[in-house]
Amino acid sequence: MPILIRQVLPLTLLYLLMIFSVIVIDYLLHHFKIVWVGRHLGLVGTILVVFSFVYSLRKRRLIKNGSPKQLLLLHEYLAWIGAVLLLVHAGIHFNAILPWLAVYMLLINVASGFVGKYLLRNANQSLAESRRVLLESGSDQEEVEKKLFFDAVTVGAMQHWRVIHLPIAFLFGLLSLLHIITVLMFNR
Amino acid sequence: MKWITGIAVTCILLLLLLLYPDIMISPGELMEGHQDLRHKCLSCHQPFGGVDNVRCISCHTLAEIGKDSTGMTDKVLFHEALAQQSCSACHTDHAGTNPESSLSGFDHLLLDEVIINDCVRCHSLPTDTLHQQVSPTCQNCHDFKAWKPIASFDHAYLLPDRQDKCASCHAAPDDEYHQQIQDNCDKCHNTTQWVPSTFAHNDFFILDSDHNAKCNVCHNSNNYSEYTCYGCHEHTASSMIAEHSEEGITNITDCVSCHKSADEDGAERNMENRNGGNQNDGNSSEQEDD
Repeated sequence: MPILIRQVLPLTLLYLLMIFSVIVIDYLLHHFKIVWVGRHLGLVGTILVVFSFVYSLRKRRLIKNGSPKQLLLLHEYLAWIGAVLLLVHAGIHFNAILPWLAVYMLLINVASGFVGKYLLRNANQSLAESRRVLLESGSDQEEVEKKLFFDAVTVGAMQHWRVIHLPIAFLFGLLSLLHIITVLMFNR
Repeated sequence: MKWITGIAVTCILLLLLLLYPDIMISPGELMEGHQDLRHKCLSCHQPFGGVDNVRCISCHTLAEIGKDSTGMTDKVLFHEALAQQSCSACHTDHAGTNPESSLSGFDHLLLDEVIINDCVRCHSLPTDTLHQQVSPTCQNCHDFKAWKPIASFDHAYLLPDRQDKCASCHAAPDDEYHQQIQDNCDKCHNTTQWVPSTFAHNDFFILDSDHNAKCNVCHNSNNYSEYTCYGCHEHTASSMIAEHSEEGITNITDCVSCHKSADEDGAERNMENRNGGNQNDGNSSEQEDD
């Protein structure tokens, strides 16, 4: 089964589940006439996303404690839930550009995260395993590369994603920070 | 290099915020009169301090507020009495260019007692037929939150000469029974509710446990002065004639003239009373023979 279907499709569905969850929560808030909750979900979502960066600090050895594997899982879960809450907070209200840029970067950031280290490692391992099996079965190098061409292209594309994950995260953080500061500055 | 790129991006964003605050951070279009402030956020906003009244009053003189925008007379200018209130308690902005959309949550209770009890200072008195018939005290029916729906209504608020003019507000029932009644509605109905009426059905027939039926069981036409007893009872007109002829009763079209309840003895007593009071009653030829 191609890596595209085996690895990418489930994460795509997880991404779509995030969007679907946002729509459901937003609908419920409107249905029960408690849309004011959305404003506070922005704070909760931000706290969750910020807390998820403990993994990034651990990865760069800025903190010494904690299992990197566990912190990576925590990073994924907290970022996913935080993203849902932030998207509900944003709602479908087309006002200023700054918060919308922050929302777009959030969406791109989550997508980038999905093809980050976890998926990349699995895809790389899967590609290497397929290559080893084909070579052991007697296929020559050229034939193996031909058969795995599509998988290799997929993994290559994901590697490009990983390269831009950090700048995306930075830009998302910067836009969010500016949004928070301007709201605190000009809120009546 | 990464740091330099990050700082450069940050600077660009800050520059955009400073140059184009109206599209970068403004939550909505300013009202028409404030359009020249689109790029001057600090004209109204005090950083981290909200919108101070001082900034509003620097342009809008309290005693003058309302003169130009409402075109009303001096009598309704009430903002001077609200100096201690926050302007943003009632007014907002960034809600579109239409000035009317800037009134976010006006609360009548902010007004002083003299103004709040004199609604017509700001509101024009309704001229429809209904309001011409009621007391001019708006608070009797309306509250300060909204004109509609009304908070309460009591017919006692009607002007005295309108108390018995039901049809001036209510449509008269179109069934034949009601159309032939000349009396006023209050003979059978009260002002609390139309149904049930206070009409004394027991004066004609007692609706006891055996006859606790819906109106149209007996009154099967639109004329409530007509009725039939044959809808439920097994008896037929011919069997009733046969039975009643033994008593000398030939007219059986008006059952309740004798049967005023399910009590058979009562019917006999009624018949005897009637015959006793009028020996020449044409319904009982047998009594005449006696």
